[in-house]
Parts: sequence; structure tokens; C-alpha cells
Amino acid sequence: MRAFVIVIMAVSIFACATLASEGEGDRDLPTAGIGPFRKLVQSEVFGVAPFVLQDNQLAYREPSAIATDGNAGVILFVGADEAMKDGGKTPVIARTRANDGRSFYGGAGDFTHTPTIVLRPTEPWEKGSVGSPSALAVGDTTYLYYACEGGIGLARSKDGFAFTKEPLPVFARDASAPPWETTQPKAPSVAHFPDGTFHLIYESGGVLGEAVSQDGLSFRRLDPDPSTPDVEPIMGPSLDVDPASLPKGVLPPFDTLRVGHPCIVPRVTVAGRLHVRVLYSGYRRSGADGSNVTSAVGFAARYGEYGFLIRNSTPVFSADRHEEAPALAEWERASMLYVHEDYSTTTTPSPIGIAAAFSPPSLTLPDPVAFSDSP
Amino acid sequence: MGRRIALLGAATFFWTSAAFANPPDTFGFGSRSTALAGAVSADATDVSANYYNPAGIVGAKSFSAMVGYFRVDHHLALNGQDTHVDPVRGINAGFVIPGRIRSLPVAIGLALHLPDDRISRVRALRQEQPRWELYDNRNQRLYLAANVAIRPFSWLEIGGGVSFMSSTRGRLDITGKAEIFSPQNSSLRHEVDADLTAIRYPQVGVRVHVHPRASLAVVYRAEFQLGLDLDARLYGDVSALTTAYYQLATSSVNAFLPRQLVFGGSWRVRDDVRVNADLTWVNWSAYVPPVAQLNVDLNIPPPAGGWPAGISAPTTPAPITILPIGMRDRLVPRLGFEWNAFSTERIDLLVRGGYEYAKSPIPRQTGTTNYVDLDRHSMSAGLGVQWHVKSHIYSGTLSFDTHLQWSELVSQVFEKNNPADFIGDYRASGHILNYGASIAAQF
Repeated sequence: MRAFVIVIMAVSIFACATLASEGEGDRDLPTAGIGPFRKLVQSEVFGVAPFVLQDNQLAYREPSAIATDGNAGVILFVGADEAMKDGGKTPVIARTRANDGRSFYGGAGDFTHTPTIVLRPTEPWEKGSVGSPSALAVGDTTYLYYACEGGIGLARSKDGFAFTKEPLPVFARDASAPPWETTQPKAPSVAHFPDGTFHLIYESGGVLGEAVSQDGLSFRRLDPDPSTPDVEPIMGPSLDVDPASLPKGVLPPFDTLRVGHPCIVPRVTVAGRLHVRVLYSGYRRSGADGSNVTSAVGFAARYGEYGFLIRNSTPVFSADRHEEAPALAEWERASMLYVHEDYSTTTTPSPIGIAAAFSPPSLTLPDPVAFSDSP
Repeated sequence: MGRRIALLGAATFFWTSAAFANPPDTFGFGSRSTALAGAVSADATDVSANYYNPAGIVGAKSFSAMVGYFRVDHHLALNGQDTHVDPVRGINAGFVIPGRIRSLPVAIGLALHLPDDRISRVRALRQEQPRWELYDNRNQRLYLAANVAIRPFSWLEIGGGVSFMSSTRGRLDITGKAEIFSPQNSSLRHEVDADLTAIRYPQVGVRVHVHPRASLAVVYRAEFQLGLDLDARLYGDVSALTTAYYQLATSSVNAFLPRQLVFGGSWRVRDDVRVNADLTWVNWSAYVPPVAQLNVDLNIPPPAGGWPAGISAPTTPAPITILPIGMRDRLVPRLGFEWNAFSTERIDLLVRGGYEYAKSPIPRQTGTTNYVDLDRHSMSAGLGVQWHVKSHIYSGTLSFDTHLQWSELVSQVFEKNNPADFIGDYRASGHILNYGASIAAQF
């Protein structure tokens, strides 16, 4: 009996001393999966946060990501500079892998490995450079679109390492190009839509255009507004605003100079609508004399197969380090943004590296465990 | 005796100064009334009448005290993922004391919902963040009501009460010196000043016995707004480089109870069957969402020679424009029945059931805001046992009541007009399970 009383008292005291649980109600909230993002912190990466891939000589840039599983696995294709025997550098495309979205083979802190070069310039029309990769998996084949002086090329691979190029560019500026396409199309981003078509968004003349293909090999320009005779860009820069005319605390648009480096990520929403999401680099002039150019990563989107993109006025990622060329790896409840940005705040011009940012920003990633043991 | 009861009633009425918002609005009060889906404004004479219709307490035949416990589990999902809205749980208790002042029948009553997890919860989320607006935060608080009722005529009962809510005003001051290059050497002084101020709101009710077997009722519950005002001020020296001044003023309505007008009827169809119906008008259009209005003043002048490399001063955040929620007034019908299935001189076994339909007052969330709510069908059931005791120790009725209420929220997909919305389309769905039991003694 005495023991029983003691147990009851102990349980009662323990129960009275417990605290209420922390309030919830905001777990697993819906998002469009596209930010806003927060840069990774030091505890989340092996190297110098937020960089996951950095080498002053190789100058990794313009990432393109393929999420390989539902648990943060990523294959990353990046532009890089390959050192030549004559002391020069050739722009190439390399690939690497991370099992946690952060600890890449040959990444920042993995000093014994280097990402594998998978594409070098070999065709005359490439004019000695390949870059701005856009990789996507179609069935068991990896499609790797890339930019070069002669337009946008395509290479395909069954194993993701040995690529076979198309002999000619799959999309280039030609006589039918609209007047706003003042430069060769560059910074391609290609997605495979649910209806089987390939949609290419590219940068030209500081705006974004779109082309479509049935087979991924031959693209035609897509008019966002068929009711007009001209083919318009799907998005241009924001209108410039005098900062003095804005209310206190309201920032001017971040993309008034030009837009570029699109990253197209389509999805079908729970409402059954095709949601074409596009991350892009936005640029604007800054400084007292407007001589500086700052950049940030923006988000624009539309519903449906074609049409103009509508932008969100708030950047999804802005670090004031010339961040640009966004790539997205998306999993069921989280996504990782990769950009290239200045590695140094004191050196001009700064070397660049691949930095990572995470969404939802309220979550903290566990400590990284190990670098991937293969690219 | 009557005079003493009146004095006790007055004391109780004016002593009630703590306070309270309204979980009973959403989940009912007392197992019997919840089993009847809350359709009891013309019927309740027990402790639950303190919430449903204060006039009803004068219908109590003798002193009545009740204590019970209930728990509400939310299973509310967005895109199929449970958002883990906190359960509402706690003790319901109260008493009713009938008596007379001279020949006038009077009664006093007190009702209390005491949560066992937290007394109150303060939350002011960004208006863009999805939240279950009517379930997430509003029901996480104490409820206490005190009432007085009279019966001037045999066919008329009038009752009323007043409750006090508590608003929060607070101020946080931080002054001192901040070392941005060696934060451990910073020297900061903190000063906190918080104040809870009272807000009062009334409730009144009338019950009319139009027939020996039928009663009608009208109940009015006033609106209240539970404010939350916080000010923060930071002023000091930054590493001897410059000074920093930051002032934040935030104001929000943390909880809002809309005005309600209830029309109810109760009809004893047979000696053993009672049917009740309530229709509640809820003034949701006056609703103020719990979004903080921020005013920020930030002034950090650059040091002589400019900022060190890698350091840039933060800018003043843009003011928040609170978008109107646009809720609509609603009529909420409730139906309930009670069948005395087994009756002897000592025992009554009662079977109860009810239904409530609460159409969501919140419009489809197609814009920037994400106040999630769905139409709700609630079906309830319960059992009651009344034991009539006559002994030298206790003479009266002991009651044991249980309730189980299932609320099904009609699934809905919210489609966003702006494709560049950070939240995007989502599907909301869910159900709510409310269960509990209470015991009461009348003597």
C-alpha cells in the first residue's frame, strides 16, 4: 500500500511538472516549391558556407540540377574552365553528384576529387566553347542542352557520362528570329512537359524567349500571344522606378536592366493545372551613378502550355554577391537552389563558386555526413 | 435564504474578472449539450445554459454542479499533409444555484473551460502563411462566464452575464553597446514592461414557454476583440563605429469573437422524446484577422569613412498592407433530439443525437492571403444516465453524460489567381473528432 501511494505521488508530481507542448499547426504547409530560399549556413556544408562547389581555377558556374531520388540526391552539371597545355582555358561542362544535395564529389572541402568533364567543344559551330548546361532525364536517357557561340546544342547519354552530340545546333538565331532576339540564344533551360513536348526557354537580348519541340531535337519559337502577328518574348525586364517615388522601405524592382539564365520547372498542381515555373537572374543598375550592376534570383510563372510569364516582385534569393544562373533540385517537401556567385568579398573581380540555398527556409538541414564517392 | 443567494450571485457576478474566449462556440460546452449539437438554447437548464442561454439557469430545479473533460483532435490537412493543429482539451465545469428573492425566482451560474495545455495562446502570423483560421489559435484559451437569471412570469425567463477579456500591451527596450566584431563583449540592457488590460462583453438571453411542451429562446452574445500590442525599441552604440536606432510597433487582434444572435426552439414531442432546433446568426463580416500591423523605424547612419568591407547596413522593412479578409455573415442551423429510452423510478437512460452545418464564412483564398477554412458538417451522439437517489446521505439526481462528435470538412481546392504566388494551388481537407464525458449532481 505504501509503495502504491509513493508511485501515485511520484506520477502526480511528474505530471504536474510537465510543460505544455510547443504550439503547432504549421507543419508541412503547402508551397509552390520555388522559394523563398535561405542560403546554407556553416553547419550544413563541409566547405565555406554557402558554397558547395568551388575552385578558383576551374571557375564552376551555371549549374543545372537533376534530383535523382526523393531523398536529396542530386546530379549537378556545371560549366567550368579546363586548363590547357598552352596555358589557356577551354570552357567545358562537368558533372558531379551529392547524396544529400550538398556534399558533392570534388566539392568544396573534398580536395582529393574533381568533377568529371563530360562535354568539350568539338564542333566547328561551337567555336571553342560549351557552357550553360541544362540537363534533364527523359526515360533512361540524359539530355544535355548547352550554349555555345553557334546556338544551342544537344548531347545525349545513356549513362550520364559519355554523351553523343547532335551534329548541328537544335536552336539558333536565324532569319525568322524576331527583332528582340538581338543575340544568339543562350542560357538554355529545357523541360519535358506532361504532354510529351519539350519546352526551351532561352535568353537573348536581355529578355526571355520560348521555343517548343515534339522530339527535343528541332525547336520552333513559341508565341506567347497568338492574337498578335509578332512573336513576343515571354518576359522582359521590369519597368524602372525612381526609388525616391517609392514609400519608405519599399525597394525598387530588382530586374529593371535585363533578365536571363532561366530555369524552367513545370509541375501539375493539385487543381490539375499545368504550372510553368521559371527561376531567372534579374539585373538592375545601382550606385550613385548607376555604374554598378546588382543581381538577384527571381520567380515568374504562368498556367498553361504557352503565354507570358508573370513575375513575383520579391526575389526568391538575394545575397548581394552577384548571384545568378539559378538551378533547382526539387523533392517532395523541400527544394535546393544552386547559383553561382562571388566567392570573395574583397577581391575584384571575385572568383565564383556554386552556392546553395534551401527552402522552406524555416527548416535546418542535418549535418552533412560524407561526400559522394562518385561523380 | 433567497437574500443570501442573491448576495452570492451578485458577488460572483462582479468577482468574475479573469478571462476568456470561446472554445464552446466551436466545440460546445458540456457533454449533454454537445451531443445535441448545441441545439439547446430553449432547452438547457443545467450548467451548460451559462453558455447557451443564461436565461435557462433559472429553470434549474435545484443546485447543480458539473465537471467534465473533453478533447478535440484536429486532422486538418493541406495537400494531404496533416498540419498538426493542436488539440483543444480541458475541463468543463460550473454550477447553477436557483433560489428566490421574495417571490421572484432567481438563479446564478458560473461556467468554466480550463484548458490543460495552455491558458491562452498568442499568435500573429503573416497573412500569406496558410493557417486554419478558425481552429488554429482561437480556441486555445480559457473561458469563464458568470450569469444571473430571473423568472418574472411563469412563462418568461430572462438572464444575462458579463465576461472580461484581457488584452496585452507590452514594451521591450534594449540599450547598450553592440560589438559586431566580438559579440561576446557586447553590453546590452533589457527592460520589459507588459500590461494586461480588461475588455468586457455581455451576453443576454430570453426563454419563453409558449406551451407546456414547447419553449422558444433568443440569445445575444456580444463581440469582443482581444488585442495584442507590442513595442520594441533598440538603441545603442555599434562597435564605436556608429549608432543604431530601431523601433518596432506591432498591433494585432489576436482573437475575435463575432456577435451572435441565436433563435431556438424546444418541443417535447412525447413524454420521452424532445426535439430541439437552433439557428445562429454569426456576424463574421466584422471579423478582424490576427495579422500584425507593423511600423518600423530604423536609423543606422554609416560610420565616417563608410562601412567596412563585407558589412552593409540593413534597410527599413516595407510597411505591411493588411488585406481585407472579406468574411461573410453566416446562419448556422443545429438540430438535436433526446430520447428517454429506458426509465424507471431510479434510473433514466437517455439517447441523444444532433447535427450542425457551419458553412465557412471565409471566401475562397485565391489571392495573397491563406486563411483556410471549409464547410463543416458535424454529427454528434451521446448517452446519458440519470440516477435518482434518495438516501440519508444524498438526495437528488446524479448524471453521467458522454458525447462523441464527428465533424467532416468538405474538401476543397484553392486555385491561386497569380501563378507566381509562393504558395500556389492547394487542397484543404480534414475532420475533427470531439469526445468527452461529464458528471453532474443535482440536490
